[in-house]
Amino acid sequence: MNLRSIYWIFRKEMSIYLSTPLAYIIAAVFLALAGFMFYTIMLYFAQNYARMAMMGTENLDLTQEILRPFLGNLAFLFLLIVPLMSMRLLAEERRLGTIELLMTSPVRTVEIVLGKFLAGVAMNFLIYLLTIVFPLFLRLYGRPDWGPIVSGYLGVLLLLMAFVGLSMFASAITSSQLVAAAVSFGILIMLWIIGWISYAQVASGPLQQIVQYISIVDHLEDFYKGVIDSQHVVYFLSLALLGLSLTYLATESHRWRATS
Amino acid sequence: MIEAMGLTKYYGPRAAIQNVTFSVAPGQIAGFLGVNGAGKTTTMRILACYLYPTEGTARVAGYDILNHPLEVRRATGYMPEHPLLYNEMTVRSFLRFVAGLRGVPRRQVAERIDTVIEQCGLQAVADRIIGRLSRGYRQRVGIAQALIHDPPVLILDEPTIGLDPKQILEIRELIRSLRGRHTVLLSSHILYEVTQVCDSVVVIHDGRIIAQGSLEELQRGLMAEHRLRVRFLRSADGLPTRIREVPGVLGVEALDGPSQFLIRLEPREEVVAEVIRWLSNQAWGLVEARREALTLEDIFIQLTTGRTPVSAEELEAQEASV
Repeated sequence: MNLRSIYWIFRKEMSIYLSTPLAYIIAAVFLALAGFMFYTIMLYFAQNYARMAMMGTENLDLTQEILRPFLGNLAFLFLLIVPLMSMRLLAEERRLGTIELLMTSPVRTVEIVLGKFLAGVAMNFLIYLLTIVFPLFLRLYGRPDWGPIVSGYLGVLLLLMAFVGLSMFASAITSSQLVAAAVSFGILIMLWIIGWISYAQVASGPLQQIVQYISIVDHLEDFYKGVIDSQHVVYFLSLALLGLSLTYLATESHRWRATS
Repeated sequence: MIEAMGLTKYYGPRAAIQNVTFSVAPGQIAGFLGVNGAGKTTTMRILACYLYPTEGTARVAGYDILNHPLEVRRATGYMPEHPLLYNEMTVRSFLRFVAGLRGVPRRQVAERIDTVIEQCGLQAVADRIIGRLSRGYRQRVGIAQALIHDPPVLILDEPTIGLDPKQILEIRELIRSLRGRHTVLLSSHILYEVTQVCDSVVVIHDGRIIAQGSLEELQRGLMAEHRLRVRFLRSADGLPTRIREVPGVLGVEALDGPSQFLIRLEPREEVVAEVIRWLSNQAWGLVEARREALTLEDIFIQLTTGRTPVSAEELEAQEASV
């Protein structure tokens, strides 16, 4: 694998993200929603805090009471953001025909896929990183525990890798950005809600465990608590790898395609 | 330099190309000629290692397209039909990106970009956004990106399609300037273009190669007959019947009255000489005898339709009636 080719693909994708409005608009909307969420959680916290103070205990944990639900909810927003940020990656190359330019350059398909993947992850994570202002804001009034904050951000980074990998596959199978977005909404939301089936108790035993394992929600919790468990790291990385492999196959299969 | 060996590509049950075999010598500009849908683009995409053939293989710049696709792509500059470019980028940043992808050494990138910008006449638009350029300029950017890594082989798919006449002349001039330093395969459905730019021609029809060689070879090999247009001072009513005595005459048609004829002959110079001598010995007063060469246009039509060649006037008449 040639790192230089990956770098050039990455660089091109980043420059498109940074020179077109979509990423900025998404970042602005995201921050507005985040601000509102933070505000409501703060209000709730303030009420609790007052009540606790009256009862004589003032020892409320800023990180667990505010940041944990806050960052957890924000991750949920990426179910909607990642498909929008990733839909262009391959579908647009296909629509414009520029994929032909890439695939006739001395670049391996793996390198194309990885360059785009890294750019997608980087851009989504940059948007998420903007939320760092909220812990910093708390720092003015209290002493947040940075351990869980850092591990929480790491967890979201891993989550984004899984999301972007899977969304790229959706983008690789169509030349329409809208179709790509719709398919990846479907995949991601399904991964999020698949765990619900265990509430209905239709599945039990090993099946329930498998479904529970596939479901994304449970894998993020530990990160917010400050625990980095390799089981969860492996989970997210294998989802990313699955997405990337499918993307690779869908892209490479073009060379064999049987329609003009 | 380019050697296609039995390339076949099926799209479903339909063969887009079948057993395509031809070669292009180093430093030559070869024209790949065929009507739309004949299989030009499919062949070129296979040579540029974008598609895999169903059967057969090819060698480009000494590398096999199936076993060493990366080496082939490194040695090849490819311009797809309707050059497909990133509309958001400026010409310069696009060329920098492509240079990076094609492995141009970092220290030479700036120099290569300046070189191709000059070579393709892009100085005036180098810092403009590609999406806002005219077709002619976009086409040139397409050629510039194919040249950026100075590849020995260039594969250009319909480089002049959709351009105005002035732009076409400029692009042709640009392609001609590549002769000798690069081996070029360019496709076209316009015969005139090929005669203007190319050293040799490969003709494809219905997915099969039906002729290849230099322009002269093609013209010579395919001429099934010679034509002689003659005019007499006086009416020559007897000519159609009497000229049949002369060996080698295939037929006669009267044109515009009894003093003008088109005589079709076997394609041998001796026959022509004999007929002219016979004609000048007649009493009708030969005032004009003109050899009519089959144009490449005639040959192309003959090849692609299986019909006998028609004269330019007939062709125009046919087109007018369509």
